[in-house]
Amino acid sequence: MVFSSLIFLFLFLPLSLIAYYFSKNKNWVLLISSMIFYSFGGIKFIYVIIGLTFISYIGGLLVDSSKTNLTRRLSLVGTISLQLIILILFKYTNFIIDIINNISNFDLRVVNIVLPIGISFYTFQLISYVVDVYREDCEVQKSFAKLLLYSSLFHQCIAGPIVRYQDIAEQMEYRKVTAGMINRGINRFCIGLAKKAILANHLASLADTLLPTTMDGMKTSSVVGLWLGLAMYMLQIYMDFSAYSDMAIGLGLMVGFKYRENFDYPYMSKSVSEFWRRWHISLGSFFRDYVYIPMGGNQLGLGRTILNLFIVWALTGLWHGAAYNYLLWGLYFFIFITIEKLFASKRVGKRGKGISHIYLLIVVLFGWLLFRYSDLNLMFGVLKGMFGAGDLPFMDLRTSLLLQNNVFFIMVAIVGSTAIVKLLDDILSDLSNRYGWIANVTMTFEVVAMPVILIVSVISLVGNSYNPFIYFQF
Amino acid sequence: MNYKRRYIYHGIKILSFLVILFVGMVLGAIFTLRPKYSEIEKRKLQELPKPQLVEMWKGQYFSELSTWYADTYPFREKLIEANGMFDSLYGFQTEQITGSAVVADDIPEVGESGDVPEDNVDSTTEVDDSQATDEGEVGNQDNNQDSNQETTQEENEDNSQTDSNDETEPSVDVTENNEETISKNDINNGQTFGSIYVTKERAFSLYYFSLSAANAYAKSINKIAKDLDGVANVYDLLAPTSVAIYLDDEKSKMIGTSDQKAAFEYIHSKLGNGVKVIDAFDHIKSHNKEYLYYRTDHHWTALGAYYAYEKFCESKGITPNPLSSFEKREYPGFLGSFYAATDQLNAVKKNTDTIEAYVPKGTNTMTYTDKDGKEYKWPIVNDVSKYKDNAKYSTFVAGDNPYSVITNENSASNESCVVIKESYGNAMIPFLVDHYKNIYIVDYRYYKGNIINLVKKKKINDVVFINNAEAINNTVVSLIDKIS
Repeated sequence: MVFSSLIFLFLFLPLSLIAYYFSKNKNWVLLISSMIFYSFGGIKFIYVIIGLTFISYIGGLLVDSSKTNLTRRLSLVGTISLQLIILILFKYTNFIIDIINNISNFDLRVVNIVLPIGISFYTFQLISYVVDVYREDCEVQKSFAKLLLYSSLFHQCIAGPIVRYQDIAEQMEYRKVTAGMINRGINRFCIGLAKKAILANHLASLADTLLPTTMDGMKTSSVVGLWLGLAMYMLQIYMDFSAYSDMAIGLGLMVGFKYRENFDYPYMSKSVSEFWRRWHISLGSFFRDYVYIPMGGNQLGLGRTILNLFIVWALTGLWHGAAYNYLLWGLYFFIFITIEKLFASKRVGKRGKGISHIYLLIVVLFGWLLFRYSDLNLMFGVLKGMFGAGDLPFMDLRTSLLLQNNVFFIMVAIVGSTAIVKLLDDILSDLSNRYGWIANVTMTFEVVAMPVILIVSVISLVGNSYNPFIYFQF
Repeated sequence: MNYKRRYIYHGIKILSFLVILFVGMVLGAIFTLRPKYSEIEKRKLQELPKPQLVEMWKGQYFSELSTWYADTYPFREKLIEANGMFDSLYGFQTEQITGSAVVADDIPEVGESGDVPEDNVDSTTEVDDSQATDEGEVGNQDNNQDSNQETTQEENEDNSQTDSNDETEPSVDVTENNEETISKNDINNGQTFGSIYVTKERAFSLYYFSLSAANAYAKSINKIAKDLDGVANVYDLLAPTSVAIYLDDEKSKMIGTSDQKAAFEYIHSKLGNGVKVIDAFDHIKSHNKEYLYYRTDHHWTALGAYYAYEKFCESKGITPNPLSSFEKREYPGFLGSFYAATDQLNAVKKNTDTIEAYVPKGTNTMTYTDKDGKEYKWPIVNDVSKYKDNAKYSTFVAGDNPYSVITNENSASNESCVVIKESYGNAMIPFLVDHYKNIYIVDYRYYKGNIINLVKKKKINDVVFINNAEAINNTVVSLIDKIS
């Protein structure tokens, strides 16, 4: 099930909210809701999440009860190995077979494995749990049901954010829901839904129209068309993914969970390192805390630092998908981050701001080209086409019409991907504290706007049955 | 702000959020309000899946359930229409384009290839065999692109197509059921709307030339002409579509639609001597200030068909009946296939059409056989004033049926002909009625018999193929091959 579907909005969500608010065993309501939610992807995958959680549960207990350092360490390594093996089996088997076939004479057959929805997300959550127990950053969880609730909670189970166990361990035991929290939750959820239903879906259809899917399709493109298509894709990915995080955070707030922010207007960054501190924050910090720093981080000399970065970015790329282009996509950022580390550190002055902002946007834009095309030939074809290779016309009528037809829409999407709205909101709430009438006006506006946004989102969900969610393959 | 007030605001917002969810839930639970069939999209909507353990285990059941929930949500079409109104806020909408571009083949110059058409065609098609499958795949991709846009719903559409065809068949009891129009992804069984270009005045379906289809088409017609050599005259009429008649050259080039005139010339050059070519392109184009094509539909009007009929008469050596000699009927309020194909753009809806039909003089009665083999008597030009606004093109010859017969006892001629056509033929047939004693109508998309046998058995004099430019595709050719 996805949040941006009618069956979620008009069946699952109201029922689970009633059950939640009226029930005494709130955690059980959440757990059962999550199991139902998750089973929509196929009941068979429930066993994967339960199994992985069980392994982590036992692992946590073993780590916790170990008397010696050696057994602690063995328990940890054993658990993580099992977790990773399961993830690799489901997600990377065919990729590995492909690699083996390419570099050797073997001719292994591709196996038919369906990727359980959200496995990349909950595996990482469970790894963080076991490691945190090992590091004594949190108490071991003695109740299997609670650990399952943590790994399967439908707010974040299938598309993030990757919530750390230590962040919500206490909230699972005790949490208070206030009217203010529910309110903020509703705001976040409605805004997220609108970003997905109104902006991301239409951006996706624009990108799909403009970006060719075959080498032959290049013939109908133009230089401007390719640039515009890629820019639409860049906006789409942000809207899509951050919308899902918004909705997850909103749903959490409605029942008293406070999840950390996952996006912080990444397209406003001024360097690639900064971009990755603001994009999919929960993933970046996972790799930082559980891979980069344990390997020594930047403490073991320049050579080792670069190696560590290389590993982290190769893994980040592969986490996004089991294909060469994702690997290249990760390494592409490795190159820029390494260069930034070596040469450009902390030297962005006031004058450099504009330039470094443009630099970041261009780097990220071409990054999405790698992300989009698993067919590397086609990817290079599009890249060359963007610079006029192959006698592409500068502009075609289709592109100019799409631009005309969507000029206001595109402006809204661009503004929406910056912090401008948030800035306005901050100014207004600042003023609200000082002047009562402004507070009344903004509150009234919010009270009217959120239901309107919700209804408009529903209408556009029905109107465009087109509903791809990019991050589901991860 | 004081806390009490803030509390009230919070209360109101929480309440309105919950109320919307609950109203949505209650509405969704009223099964009787759920539509089963979409009039506009011409398809059966997703059915409520039956719970089966295997399907639940794999997740198929739940994805169908989710699709069903959204696909048949009460007032779905109203919501889609409302969504169309938001789209007009997205930018300047004077001209619009929907769908993705298709890669067209280059049209070879007529002189380029050899002088012996038939051999030439043979050799090219052999070479092109691989290409033909390629083309098929390209076609499939189009479908995929569409279905991407519709997610799983489109798949269901495909599955339910045959069913929905059944539902739209004409039946004697309820005239309104005579709705032989088009579902969005199926103009003519296998013909997909690639890309629709909407201007202030009208909508166009963009045309993309396919070399392998053109060669295969010529080869099929040549083969039929050879089989009927000395038995009957074989005429071939290629009908231009509106984009070739109304859109100027410069715009056509910019938007990437292929040159139909050049395409027709190429196909004509590939047709053997046994085929009498009716070249109506220039004649129709010379009248392009007139109402020759619908603004909201991919068909030509009866007037457009009339000019083609004039060229047919010229080719056959008979005198066409002047337009003024027919009784003219008008049915306003036609909103054709482009409306659904553009996801119900307002810009299309603004330009509703009027169907103008000319009643044949000798008789206005025909007999058609529907897909179940049942026979009906029906008017050749039927009163469609009460038909749904997207079904009015079926005024002509009862819409698309596998096989129909018109017998005109008042005809001066004793000859008979068979028209082998897709829906473009429908608007032209009424004009032919007064020149033949018997007209047999075969819609190759649904006909199950063999036309060579039919011609021989019924002692038919003329075989007339009528196809619009977009119908020259590999699917159509394979359908024609199947019945010849």
